[in-house]
Amino acid sequence: MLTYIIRRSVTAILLALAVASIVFIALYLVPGDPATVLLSTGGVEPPASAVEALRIELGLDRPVWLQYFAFLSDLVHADLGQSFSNGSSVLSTIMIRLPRTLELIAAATTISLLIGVPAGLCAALNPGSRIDRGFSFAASAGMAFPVFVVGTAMIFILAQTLRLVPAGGFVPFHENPGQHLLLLLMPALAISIGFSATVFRMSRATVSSVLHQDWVRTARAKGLHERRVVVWHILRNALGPIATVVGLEMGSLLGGSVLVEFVFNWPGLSGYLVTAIENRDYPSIRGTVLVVATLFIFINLAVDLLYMILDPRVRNQ
Amino acid sequence: MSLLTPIKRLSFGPLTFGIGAVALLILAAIFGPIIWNVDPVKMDIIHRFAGPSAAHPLGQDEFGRDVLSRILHGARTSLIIAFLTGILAGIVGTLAGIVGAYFGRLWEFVTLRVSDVMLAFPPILMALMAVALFGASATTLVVCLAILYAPNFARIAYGATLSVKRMEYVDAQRAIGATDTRILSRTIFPNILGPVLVQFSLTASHAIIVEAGLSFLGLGIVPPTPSWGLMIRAARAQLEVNPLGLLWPCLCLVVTVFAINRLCDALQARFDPRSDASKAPSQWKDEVDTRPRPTPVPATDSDAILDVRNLQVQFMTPNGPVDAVNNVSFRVPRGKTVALVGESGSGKSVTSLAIMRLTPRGTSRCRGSICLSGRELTELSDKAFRQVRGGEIAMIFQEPMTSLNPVLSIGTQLTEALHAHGTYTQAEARTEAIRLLTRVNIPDAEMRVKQYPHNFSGGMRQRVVIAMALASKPKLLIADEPTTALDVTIQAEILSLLKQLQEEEGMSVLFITHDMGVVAEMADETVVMYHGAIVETGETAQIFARPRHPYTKALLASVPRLGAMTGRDRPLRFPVVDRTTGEVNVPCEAPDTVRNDRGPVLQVRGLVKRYDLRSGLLAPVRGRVHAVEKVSFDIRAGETLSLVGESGCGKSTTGRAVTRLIESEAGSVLQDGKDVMALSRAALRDQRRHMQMIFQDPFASLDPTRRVGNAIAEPLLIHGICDYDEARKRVGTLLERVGLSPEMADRFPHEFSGGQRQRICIARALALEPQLIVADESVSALDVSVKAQVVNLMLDLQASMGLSYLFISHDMAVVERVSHRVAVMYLGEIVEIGPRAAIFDRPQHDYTKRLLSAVPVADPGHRRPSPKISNAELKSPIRARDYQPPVRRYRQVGADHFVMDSEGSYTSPSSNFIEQRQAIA
Repeated sequence: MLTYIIRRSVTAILLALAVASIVFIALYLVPGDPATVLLSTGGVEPPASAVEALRIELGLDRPVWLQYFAFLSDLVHADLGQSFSNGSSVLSTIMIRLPRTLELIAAATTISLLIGVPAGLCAALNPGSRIDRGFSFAASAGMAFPVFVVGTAMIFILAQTLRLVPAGGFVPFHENPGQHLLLLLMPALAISIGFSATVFRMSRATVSSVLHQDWVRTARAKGLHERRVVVWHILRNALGPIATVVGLEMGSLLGGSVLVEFVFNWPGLSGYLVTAIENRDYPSIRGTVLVVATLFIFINLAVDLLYMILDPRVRNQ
Repeated sequence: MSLLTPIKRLSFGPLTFGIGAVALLILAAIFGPIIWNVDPVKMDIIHRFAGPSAAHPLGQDEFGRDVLSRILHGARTSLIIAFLTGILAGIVGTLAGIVGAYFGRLWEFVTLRVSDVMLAFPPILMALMAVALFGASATTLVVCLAILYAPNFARIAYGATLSVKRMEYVDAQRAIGATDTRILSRTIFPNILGPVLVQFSLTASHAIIVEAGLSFLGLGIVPPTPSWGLMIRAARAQLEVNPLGLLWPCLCLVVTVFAINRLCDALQARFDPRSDASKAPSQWKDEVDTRPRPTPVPATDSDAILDVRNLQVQFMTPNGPVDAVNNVSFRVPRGKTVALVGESGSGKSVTSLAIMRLTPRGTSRCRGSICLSGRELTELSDKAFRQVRGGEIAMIFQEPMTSLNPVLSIGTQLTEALHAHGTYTQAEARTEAIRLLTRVNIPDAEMRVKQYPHNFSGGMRQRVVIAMALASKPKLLIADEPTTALDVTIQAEILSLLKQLQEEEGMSVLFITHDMGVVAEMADETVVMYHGAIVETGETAQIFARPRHPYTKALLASVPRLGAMTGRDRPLRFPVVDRTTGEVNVPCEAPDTVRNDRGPVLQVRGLVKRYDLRSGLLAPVRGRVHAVEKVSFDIRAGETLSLVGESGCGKSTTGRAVTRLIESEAGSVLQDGKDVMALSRAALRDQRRHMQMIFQDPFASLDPTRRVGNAIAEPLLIHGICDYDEARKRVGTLLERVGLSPEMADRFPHEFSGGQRQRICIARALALEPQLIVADESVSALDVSVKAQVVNLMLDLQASMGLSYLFISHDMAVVERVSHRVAVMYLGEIVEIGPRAAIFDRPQHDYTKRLLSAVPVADPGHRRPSPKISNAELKSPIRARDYQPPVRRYRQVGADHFVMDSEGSYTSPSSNFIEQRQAIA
């Protein structure tokens, strides 16, 4: 069991290293010299001497493997460099914005689990019933609504037409808790439309495949109460696959929340990334991508470990 | 069962709907802009935000451009990006997945690890980064998305290929001499096409959403090219002035994604065998049963524990209700064992499920009377019945590997049965659980109670299930094929355990089985079922001695009986009984086919096959499976040599190593004097003409996507023996030869029964007119009467064509019937080899003796004394890494009869095994 944990952790670290290397190579291969980009303002060609000086200052004149080594060593020291556009530390900006994105993802996940799992269980236990068909259709429809369409529609209807809520934005929790939660709820709900549909479909599929397993028949043959059969012999066995899908989906929301943050003006990590891309602010892009991809890997690691707790067969490998 | 079964009839289902909707969208995207030929970028600032008019049906946007035209062109953009992405990612990913799964080793490692790394990037994020690096454009988007979605295809194709590769029809292709390229393109690819198509539509819908999303952010398609995402972006800025501007592109986007998702769902339901379970079953339309109710005969027999009268079970199918059990009446006397026997589909299992009220709700209905100790069960409420189920009546099932919940400990599963029917404290329940485990002879019950099902072998799991059934001290135990999935020696132990428990607890037993040997062994009374009805009931001895119904006669005639061949030298056909008239056609002994005047057709010397056990590709070897260890034997022309032994003894591996479907470590295989092991790949394919295989599972050994005529003709075409027209003629002849008609060549495998499929496989093997056929458990999966027919066919072919067989089987009774010589395998080694009569009449090796004594004899007059119960844990040929197999000596004990010297063999490997396994762990 311990070897399993160690092996998965080492794999995760190696993956993170591979991701960092790919990001480095991609930025190295990009057409255009970062120093030139940095010094260009308003389409004016910067003087060659200034570019050359900056290249030396940024270490861009060194051989590529030395740059790579310096990059890795900076990473180990948690140094993601300074933003090209305003010179602030990339890491500290990320540390301010990342918790907001994580909060949004956590809220969306909670809502989606609360809707998706019970609905999926209910539909799978009554296959072909009116409830099942109703939920399944709603889920197909929910998955067809891109989050930015939902978000824009919500703002149009709830904020601009009915004037029930503000049209997005952010207020820190300690300033006004009620407003903070209201502003959080809007984007979280927008994400949940598609997310809960995914959770629903996975729950329904897993539960209905567990439903026909021999051990469920054995449990019934023992004379167990139907409630115990459903909870301990059906739902319990379906938890692993559901956890996997939720973990994957949470990971992809790390990048995917960019649209909803944009629509609701939520100052999370992705908004920072979009601005950085518009400004060709390479250190900021690199830092954000690295942090998100690494988080993604470690969320998957957490899911693997959770799976291990849920399934004794994996535990004993 | 199959990933791709041909469409039989086209119905207006979700698939037709999905395909129709997506086709309409594609047509709109292609022809829309041609028919509605208005320039989507032509501005008309004066008429900005103009409402719908004849010239502009959907109005005009903020620059006065025609909205309809922009929508139609936007559809083009979306669909082009979706399809290009899907096709690019699909080609690259699928190829990588197939190659990784098929060739394994380094290919597999690279495919999986590269996919892992690429899947660690969230797609939108990477698309954003690509835009940052290479600038926004449709090309950037397509290339980037294709790279990001390729790993998904790789994973799907990898998984599907792995499961297809395990199918026997892939081995069958290799055995007829097909090249890897041919197998990949003609066999693997058509069979994994389903999941790949599903992934394609999934990718397309994702790509549309990502394109629209990025364009919405202003980082995707570059204006003024029309795109739905850009239109939504523009409309968002003008919401107050022109809310309708938001409606059209949103609507188009949602409808498109919805249509593709529905198509994707329909494809998945069509191709994914697992989704069968989630399909809506046909329900009974009306709850009122209008059929005339059979008048139940009043229960008079107070001596019976269980009294079933006029039981009817119907299942609802899409084609209407089907009677599974029809007017069945029988009784189980107190303290006795009653066997319910019949072949598959006879309704015996359904009867037992109906008694337990476990037939599926909503899709089945039961009528009639079921009395337990004089109490009518059918009138009980569900709540009251729960006390009967698992309380007064307990049940054990066929599949020990799946009938326990894998994520709950054995202790939990035992105690919950106790809590359901009695009041126990936690501690009492635990003590009782341990007592029950000890009761079914599980050693170390204290420790085992904390373990999970995967820590137990099949036989041990069945004991746990029995312990669970005993928990409530039931009056009646229903055992549904409890030993069918077990090895014969384990079966003997479980049967004798059941007998012992029955005597001690005074239970009555209803024993459901297809095995006449088990019936003779266990049952006081026997009920024979056929097509959902009872054809004969009586005392077991009487039924065996004087069967009255023609079906019972036919069934008993086709049952192979151990010891029925004493005093004969040559194989013997099964007698054929007419099922309707009961006329018997007594068989004559097969002619002498063995050609002793010529050298052996096959000479195997010192064959060795070992598998390394390691935890990862680069991890060190932890141990080795010594699957086949220095195996040697000869087969003459026209001779049948049987390889017998229990699961894991290496008999199948030997068969595959001989035909070189797997590569072996050492040894030589001379076929007609040619060394098969030394042949190049091309020469080997050629050599396979002379050596063919028939596999176990008739449902897995034919490619479901291919007509059976093509499957039989393929070996002829591969080896260039004749042209297509000639091959078709030969297929007809071959089908006739195996007892089928030539017209059947145009059908697909799913249209045939198990026995017919096995005949088709034999026809395919015969196409190349081989000298030798390796038959790997070829009749084991067949029903008794079908088994007899296929065995007869194989004997007839041997007589007419002079074939040699390497007959691999665990079924001793069939082996006795068909063999000239027999080799007994145990833990990868041959422990005894000799003429059939010598092995069966004068077994010398301990293991042979044990194996033979464990086989149930289909004769109630000759019940054996219960074998002493041994609790031998699983035997396994896994050895430590540095294990050196001992040098074996064989002693000659009779003419052509050799036995392994007992010194150091048989018992020592299994007793050493536990220590060795601990050493490995």
